[in-house]
Amino acid sequence: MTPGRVLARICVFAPAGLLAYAGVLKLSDPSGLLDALRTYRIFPYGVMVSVALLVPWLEIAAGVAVLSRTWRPAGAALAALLLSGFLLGIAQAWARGLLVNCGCFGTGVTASQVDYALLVGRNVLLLASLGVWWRFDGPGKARQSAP
Amino acid sequence: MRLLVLVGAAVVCAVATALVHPRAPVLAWREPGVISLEEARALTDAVWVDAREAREFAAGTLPGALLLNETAWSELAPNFLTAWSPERSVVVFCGSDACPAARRVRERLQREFGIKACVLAGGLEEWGR
Repeated sequence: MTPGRVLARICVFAPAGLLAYAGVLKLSDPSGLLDALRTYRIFPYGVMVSVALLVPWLEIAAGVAVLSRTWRPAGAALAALLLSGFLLGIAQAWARGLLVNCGCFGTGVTASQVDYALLVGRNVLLLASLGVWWRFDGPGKARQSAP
Repeated sequence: MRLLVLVGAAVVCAVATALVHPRAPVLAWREPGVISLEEARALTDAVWVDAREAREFAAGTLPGALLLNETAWSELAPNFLTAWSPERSVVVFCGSDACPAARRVRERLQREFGIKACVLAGGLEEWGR
């Protein structure tokens, strides 16, 4: 395996692994995650409960799927969708000046100040990392090398 | 197609979590034990409980509300129990829906004293509208 390919693999394993880790932490306390979701003030209770129960499993599914070569594109796509969703949630909270409990790695406490730039930057970086894999080692590469 | 399979598997696991996880929230469209401002106002002779911190309570609260929070639970609970009687409803509120304190106080009232309290949807924010 070339160094470039190793780097490309890291670009998919790192974000997916981080999501799976976050999913396991969230799964330990779905009610705590629900409390964190309340601070974003987007959804009514019924939707928030579904999100609190579903998101940890989606994160774990994305993390596990990228381990298999066959399932890797689907896992990476799911990871990208999740990260995009998180990015939108954080961005709307930032735009509205809300004080949120990130809930990114399970429960937490509402901070007196939220470092939105850091949260947005982290998610953008993870999305870019998935993009690098897609372009150089994923379906994007196959499409490019096709005649 | 595989993406849908992953999402489907996650949905199945989420449903199982809702059924067996001890910390799973109740699956419902409307949150159980949470009442609207109109419903709360219709309760005659209710005990109103402010679940925020003492400094926030001191800065302003609802008329007649009692302070009861987790930070000073053992000091504040006797005062609440003196004011409360079994025929009186209890409405717990916080700054807004984003604040988890009211729900935690409601859970603790149920756990420690067997008192079924309601949480005011929207908290003080709703009252101020």
